[in-house]
Order: sequence, then C-alpha cells, then structure tokens
Amino acid sequence: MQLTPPPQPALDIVSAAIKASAFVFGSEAAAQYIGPYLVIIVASCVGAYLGTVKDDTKTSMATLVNAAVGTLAAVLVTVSISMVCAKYTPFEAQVWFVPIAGLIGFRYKQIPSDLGRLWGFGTRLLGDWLRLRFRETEK
Amino acid sequence: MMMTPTNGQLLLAIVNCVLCLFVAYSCLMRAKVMRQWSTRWSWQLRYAALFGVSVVGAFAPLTMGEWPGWFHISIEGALLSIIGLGGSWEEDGVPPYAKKHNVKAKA
Repeated sequence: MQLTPPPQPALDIVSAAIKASAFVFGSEAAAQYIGPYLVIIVASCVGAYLGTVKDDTKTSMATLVNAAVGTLAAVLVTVSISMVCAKYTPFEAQVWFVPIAGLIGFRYKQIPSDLGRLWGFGTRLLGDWLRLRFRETEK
Repeated sequence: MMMTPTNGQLLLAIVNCVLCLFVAYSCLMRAKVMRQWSTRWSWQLRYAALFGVSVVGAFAPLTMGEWPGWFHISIEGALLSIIGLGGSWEEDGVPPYAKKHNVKAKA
C-alpha cells in the first residue's frame, strides 16, 4: 500500500507571501469581491488625508489612528448606507460609494454632531411650517 | 482579462505595495505638518494627489490592471528619498517654497 507523504509546510516567507498575493492580486473572483471595497478604501483614505490637512492632529500616531479608524468605519457602513441611498434616489449604489466613503473618512468624528445639527435644522423647519400653517389669526 | 501572473510579477507587486504604502505614509506625515492655514493650495493639492495615486498604485494589479515593474519600484524609491520617509524633515516645518505668504518663518 502506497502512502503519499504529507505535503511539506511552506516555511519560506517569500513563497508564502507570493501565494498570499496570488490570492489577492491574481484571482478574478477575488477582484470582483474586493473591487468595490478597494474603491471605498481609496476614497476614505483620501478623505482622511484631507481631514488631516484641515484639522490639527498633533502626533503621527494620532494621524495614523484617525486614518485607520476612518477607513475601517467606511468599510463597515458605506455599502449599507449607499444601498439605502440608491433605493430613494435614481442613482445606483456604486455611485454613492465614493462620496459616502470620502465623507466618512473626512469627518467620521463629527458625524454624530452633524446628524444632531441636521435634526435640529429639520425640526426647526418643521416647527416654523407648523406655526405658519396653524397660526392663530389676529383677533 | 487577467493573465495568471508569474512569481516574479507577484514579488514585484508585493514590493510595489509596500513602497506605495510608505509613500502614502510619508504624504500623511506631510499633511500633519503642512496645514491648510500655512501651506499653499497648490502644494496641498500636489500632496493630496500623490497620496491618492500611491494608495491606488499600491494595488495596481487590481485597480489599474497592470503589473508593476522595476521602473515603478525604482521611481517610488526616488520619490521616497525626495519627500522624506516618515516625516524625518518635520522639524524644519513647512518648506519655504510651499509656505503661504502671510505665514512667518519658523523661529
């Protein structure tokens, strides 16, 4: 009975890296799944860069962490947000990837306060409209 | 349609990815020092474009469908030596050629 020898584990780090990069760079199927996320990553990185130019982060570690957290947040939430946007607009979801990811990378810290300000603006508009609509007439 | 790459192409792609990410890191360190209030708009735009292109070029086989060669790698090394790897220049502040006119020189 012929026993096939077990395959040797690849301990050479260069060949391991080549195999890993062949999976990332070389396969057509991986490219189809990675492609949209690559667009999101690039857009949020550029947004984080512009945010770095605008704000005043002191240390290089803070700069790196800001860019990384912004990019991670963009990767997590951009697809779902752009699908919701695509449902209520004439544009496809892919159109929304770049602006939404860029915004998230640009000011992911200020987004909660931005939402609060938007809410305040909307309620103010609504209150004004209600006051105009149901205004008590003079006398 | 993507051809199956050789090992040499994959190795060059890895080196290209690392070098491009170093270029992007250096641009980010530039952005940390060369602020909006102190740097000319043209230089902000140049470094933003360099950052974006280097992030795209780090994944050149996926984003642009081309395999990086020795020329890409050597030109990225030259670029790194020009823009200063990792903010080794940043004690000098904003370079005088990139400074806005209303910003005083650093004492």
